[in-house]
Parts: sequence; C-alpha cells; structure tokens
Amino acid sequence: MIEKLTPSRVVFNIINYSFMILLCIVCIAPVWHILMASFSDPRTMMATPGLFGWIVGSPTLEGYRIVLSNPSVLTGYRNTIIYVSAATLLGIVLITMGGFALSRNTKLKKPLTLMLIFTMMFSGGLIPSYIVNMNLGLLGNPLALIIPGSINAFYIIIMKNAFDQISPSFEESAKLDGAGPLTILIKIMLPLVKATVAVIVMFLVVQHWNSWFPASIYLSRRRDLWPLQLFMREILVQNDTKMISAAEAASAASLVNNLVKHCITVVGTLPILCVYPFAQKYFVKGVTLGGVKE
Amino acid sequence: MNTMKKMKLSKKVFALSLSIAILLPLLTACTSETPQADPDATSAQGDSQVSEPAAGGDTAESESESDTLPAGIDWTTHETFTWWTNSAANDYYASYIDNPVIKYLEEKFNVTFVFEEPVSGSEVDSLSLMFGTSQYTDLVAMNQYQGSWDELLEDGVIIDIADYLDYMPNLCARMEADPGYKTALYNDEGQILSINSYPEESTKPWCGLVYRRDILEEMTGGNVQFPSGKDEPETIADWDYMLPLFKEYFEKLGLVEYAPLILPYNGYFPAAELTDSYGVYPYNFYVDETTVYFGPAQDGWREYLGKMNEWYKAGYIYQDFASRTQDMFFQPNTSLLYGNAAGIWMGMLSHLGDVMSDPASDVVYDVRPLKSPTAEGRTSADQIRHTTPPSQGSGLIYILTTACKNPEKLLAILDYMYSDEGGMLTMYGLTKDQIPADDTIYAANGLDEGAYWFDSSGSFVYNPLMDAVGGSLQSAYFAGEKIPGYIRNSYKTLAVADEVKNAYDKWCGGDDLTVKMPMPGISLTDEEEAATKGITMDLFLYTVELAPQFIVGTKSLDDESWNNYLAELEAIGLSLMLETNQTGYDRYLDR
Repeated sequence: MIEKLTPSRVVFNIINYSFMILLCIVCIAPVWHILMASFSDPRTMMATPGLFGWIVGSPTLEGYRIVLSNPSVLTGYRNTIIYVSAATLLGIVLITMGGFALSRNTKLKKPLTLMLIFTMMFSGGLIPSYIVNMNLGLLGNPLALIIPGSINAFYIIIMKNAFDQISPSFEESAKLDGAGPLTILIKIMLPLVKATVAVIVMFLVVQHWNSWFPASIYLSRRRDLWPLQLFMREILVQNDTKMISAAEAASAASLVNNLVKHCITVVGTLPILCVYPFAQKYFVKGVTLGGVKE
Repeated sequence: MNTMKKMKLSKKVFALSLSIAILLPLLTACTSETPQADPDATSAQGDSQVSEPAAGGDTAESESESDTLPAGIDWTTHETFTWWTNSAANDYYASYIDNPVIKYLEEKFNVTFVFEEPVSGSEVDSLSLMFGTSQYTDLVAMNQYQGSWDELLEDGVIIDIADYLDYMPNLCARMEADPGYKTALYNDEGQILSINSYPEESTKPWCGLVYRRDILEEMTGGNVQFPSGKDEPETIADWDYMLPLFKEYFEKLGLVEYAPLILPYNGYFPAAELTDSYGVYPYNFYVDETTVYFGPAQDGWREYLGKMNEWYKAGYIYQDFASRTQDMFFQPNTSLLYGNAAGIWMGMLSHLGDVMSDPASDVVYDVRPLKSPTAEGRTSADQIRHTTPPSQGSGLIYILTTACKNPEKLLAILDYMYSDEGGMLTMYGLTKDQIPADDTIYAANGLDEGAYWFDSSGSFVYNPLMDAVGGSLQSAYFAGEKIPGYIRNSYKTLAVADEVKNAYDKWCGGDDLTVKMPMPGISLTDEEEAATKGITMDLFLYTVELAPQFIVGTKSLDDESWNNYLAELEAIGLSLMLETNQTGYDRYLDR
C-alpha cells in the first residue's frame, strides 16, 4: 500500500527529516572535528576557533607518527584485540546458553530469572568485587578483564526473550527427530535468533573495546597487559599534566601535545567505528526480537 | 485466605532475602586480617616493576658504606618497603622503581622499594581501594585522599612519626631551624601524622600574568610611557593606560572576538593576582599576622569588583568570561592567545618571549611577565602572598602506615633526604659518582657526567642538557621529586635563564614584604567540624556566583546591594566560620 501524502504528512516529514539531519550533524561534527584537527598544523589549530570543517594550516602526519611510533600504543592494540575477542567469545557463549536455559519451562526458571534481575539492580560495589577478584588471584592477571565482565544480565534477558519468540513447534519437531538440547540450541534455535546474537556481539565488542576502568584497578602495575584505552587515558592525562608542568619549557612541545591528543583519539576510536556498518543491518531486527514479549 | 497468607509470607521472605543479599557484599569488605601489604604476594602476582634486591644480597654491605649510614639501625639486613605514589610514567621510564635516585637509595641503604602507582587520573579510586581493602603500602602519598584522616587514625592505620624522631635528626634540625615548619608538621595533639618536603626557598611559580608588549610598542610607535614612569606596568593606572591600547589594536584589526584582559570565569585569579592590588585574598580565608579574614567580605573586595566592572563596561575584559567553565589557565579558547586577540592573560613560562609568534604571519609576539599592579593609595605591602612559604612544606604528603614492619629503618632513610646531600638528590638528581652501576636512564640520555656538578671554584653547574637551563631533558624526572625531603632549590633559581628569573621576580610580587597569606592547614575538633559542616563550601559557591554578576553589572555594587550581599554571607554562617577558623588558627600557633 502506498501511503498518500497529505499536507500534514508533508510538514511532518520535513520536520522529521530536518530533525534527524540535525541530530546526525550533532553526532558527527565532534568526530569530524577531531579527525580534521588530527591532520592540522598544530600552531594554526590553536589559533582557529570553533569546529573544523576541514584541515587547518599545512596538513601534517606528525601527530600520527608520534602516536604510532609509541610502543605502548601497539602493545595496547594487541592486548585490546585479545581481550575483546576472548571476552566477547566467552560472553556470547555464556549469554546464549543462559538465555536458552531461562527460556525453557523448567522448575527453577522463575527463581533463576529473579536472581538474574536482582544483579541488574544491585551490585556489591567496587571494594567487595575487588576483594573477590583478589582472592581469586585475578590481580595482575589478564583474566580479570575477560572473566568477570563477560556476562551481562541484561543481555541474557534479551536473549531469553528472543528465544521466547520462537514457536515451541520448532523444538517439538526437533525432539521428535531425536535432537538433544544442545543440538536444538545450536542447529535450530541459534540460526533463528541470529540477529539478536549479532547485536549482542556488537554490544559486547563496543563495551570491551571502550573499557579501561577494570584494567586500571586490576592491572595497574602490569603495563605490558594494559589495553589501548588505558594507554590512551594516560597519554591524554599526562599531556594535560605536561602542559601545566614547570618542566614544560618549549611552547612548540605544548602544541605537539595538543596535536597528539587528537591523533590518539582517532587511533583509539576509528577501528570500533568501522565495525558499526557491518552490524547495522541486524540492529533494529535484533533489538526488537529480544525486546518484544509476544 | 491461606493463599493470601502464603503470598504475604513469601513477600516477607523475599524482602528479607533482598536485604541480606544487599548487606552480604558490603560485609565482605570487613576483614579481620591485620592490615598490611605483602610484598612477596605482590611479586607472586607477576609484578614486573619490582626491582631486584640491591647488589650484595641480604647481608652484603661494605664497611665503608656502613660507616656513612645513620647509627642505631641494622643496615646489613636487606629490607623491602612499599610505596603508594602518583603515577610516575614519563618519557624516560614507566615506573618510579626505575627512577635513578631510587636505585641509588636502594644501593646505598641495602633495601628494595616496591611502588604502587595508579594509572594517571585513577589516583582517588586507587586510594579508596587500598584503604577499603586494608592492603596498605608502607608509605602512602595522601594528596588526593578524599576520606577522613580521623578514621584512619582511629583504625590504627597511621603511625605517629613523632614517636620516631630519634631516627630523624635531619628532619628535627629543619624543624628547629624553622619553627613554622615544626608547627605545620605537628597537629594539635602533638602528633606528626604526615611529612612533606621542606624547600630551601618558596617554590617558584610556573604561571602568572603575562602581557603582549609588542602590541603596546606598535600602538605607541615604540614610545610606551606608563603613568608610573616605570619601564614595565606596575600600577592600576598603568593598566588603565595599557588596556585601551589593546582594545584599539584589536578593533583596528577588525576582530569580532578579542580580549584585552582574560579574566577567569569566576571573576578573579586564584593566586590573588589583581585582588591583591586591593589587599584581599580571593574567596578563601586568609591570615593577617594572627587574625583570620574572609576575602570577599572585605571592602577591598568591593573595590576590586568595582574596578573590574568599570573595565568590563569599557570592553577591556573578555565579554564572555563568565560563561566559561574551568578551562586550563582560564583561556576562553586558545584561538584568542594564538590568534593575536589577547592582551593580558594567565600565562606560563613557556609563553614568554617570542615562542608564540606565528611564522605564517608577520606578527612577532613579545610576551612579558606582568607584576600584579598596585592600586592608587595602596602600597605593595598590601599585596598578599602568591607562593606558599617554605614553612608550609611542599610536594607530596606522605603517611607511614602500620603495614610497615620496620618504621625505624624507613624513617632513617627518609631522614637522609632531609640532609643537605639528600636535598640535592630530590632537587637535581645524581652526580657522576652517584650514578648506580646498573642505571641505564642517565647513560641513555647522555648524562654520564651527572645531572649537575660543582666547578673548580665551587660553583654549581647544572648539566646543560636539563630543561631548566635550556636543554631538552625534563630535569624533574632525573631527580627524586616524589621523595619527601629537603629541596635545595636555590641553586636552580640562580641557574635558570634571565627571562625566567625576571618572571619569578614579577610573579612572586611582594612575597618578602607581605604578612597576609592563605590560612595554613588547621585542625578542627569534631564538634567544630559538625557545627560548621558545609559552610565554607556554601560561602565559596555564593561568592563564585556573585562575583561575575557584580563585574558584568547584573548586580549593582551600591550600598544596598552590597549590604544585602554581606547579609547573605552572614546568613550562610560567615561569623561562625570566622570564629571557628580563628580558634583553630590560635591552636595552630600554639603548637
């Protein structure tokens, strides 16, 4: 059916599109500004007010040269990729299994769901969590970034709801064909909730890519194990410190520090931005599938 | 009916379970273990920053070295001490364990230091975790601690250093030489809960007011004549001469946004520049000899605001200053400074001279340090102190915790840092002879001859590679700046470039003449704390809110408005706070 464009509909569309375009600009402008600034001449950048529409002054790759020649950045990349891959893989396996178990009509379904929801509302807090992880021997251990944060109760609920949407007939027919629970999960159910799985994987990847706090607590003395975000944070904070340091005698160095801030932000953000387009097609479908009860 | 009862019971059970579940994790933080750090456990966790024991192992110590070590301590037994300090990562090393001065001390005293260094920006969280989990290090830098010191004391976390002064003859000598330092170190109960460094002379500022001399030269055709008759502006009248010239210059350039004077968002500079022209310290409580005052309630504050209002109306102050938040150095945006659109601002040492010039244009900056001006009818003696006096100490504030198994030895080592020799280590680093055999930092950076030396005439010579004398190496990282001790900074003051000396001279203003200074760290009793809780913050917030309004003119400075302002300060609790602070300060002076 083709919708008839009434005058009010046209007005609505104009306002709607204008608003959405504005929203896009608001989201994209800061990212674009940082990107352009990272290629700009540092002195001219300091003298130019407002958002940058294009590179100001003579284009330079000096900031990227400094950032990428820093061994910490490469170490951080390596570690981050390991943490993101491991935590996402472990997470999606556990979340899928958890969601599937909770979607079955078992005796413990309700209490287990309640216990799960409880963790969404209350947490032990930083110090108890630290003590638990310390007693588990996770201090200075890379597993501290993989195991504790791998499961998210909210994602399990989304996954459970996604499984709930699937008609019981699928499971029944599979059972008649002699399939066990694992076969049903892997061969029947998972392909049907592919969109939800994709979205949760996306969420997990972004979450673990941006994560720096657990590393700052559990791996503070193991620089060789730091993720990229922690190195980024240190570089950004220390650049601020250097700018207010009495030891900072050369103004040119302050200018370069400012350039480095923009470059490191791009270096840390760009890879995760590139993942979005590949997962976008699953977004609406996946979230809706998991979010609707019936 | 039964079903209803069962439901009610279930709800009660559920509510009880919820409460227990909430409480349980909190209780896990309570531990009966003796609070102490276990360096071995730390090593077992794979800590890559723990240095190897000093050469010689557990018992080795040469006879000659032992002779120079403080008596009364067993220096032959190897010991490990743990420190919590701010992140030390820099361009030369990632952890303070690699600091050459630390390596030197390890070798000299046959000890190993293990450092806990949080990631930059995570200091507060790290400290909270350490105290929350009772995993203390022996020494803890407390500058960023936000919890209660009283609680730490009650929990038996802090060792009273006063009980160990027999092991600290150098620190005692410093306190004897400067009773003000002794007063600052002791609390009202006669305890020494923390120690910090004692500088030979006030720590010099790295920022202050600066102005664009080149603009004045251009606008007057090279004939700058200040009303005071001085070569550099020194009075408010000189500023009244300068500011219109800046404005005229920017308008001639056709700039839409410019700032003859960049004022901080709250209407005043925190180190009292410009407010000292009128004899008051901004927002804070300050002391004039033995009396405590609140700056923004003084007549001088009203005079200051009146002058700023006059300049603002004339277009001499950046029009949007009050809309800014807390930009670094109160620069509304860097484009004003680097875009040739600012006349006077809070600048850094690195702004001085022509380094800010734009090579792409013909404008050659001449940025000069600016003395805080003296208002008409006042003398420079009215100016208040911009720098912390040496007696207040400086640097990181350390506590010694009960986790330390050998406080005597650790304090004896720290005491060495309060000696003249130790003072050179904290400020300048190592001489050629002191560089440890296993050090790579000095050699890798071309400092084989040491960070400094004395020439044949006995004069101090800073290694020319150091930034303080124009080199490229950041000198602080080659010295032991994080170690509490004596700071022999007078050599450095003499060694720096004339341009920097000139800036120190201007920015320190009348530090030698003044009697007014920010109130030192007094201790309030529990009752006083309870009675005045929140008042200081409320006073601060109110004055910060009102000052820009007075300057911009949305609030008049006439008698009625000013009296209403004073009445509001009174309603917040100004008199009570003044009285309490005065009592606390009297106790401080009696220590």
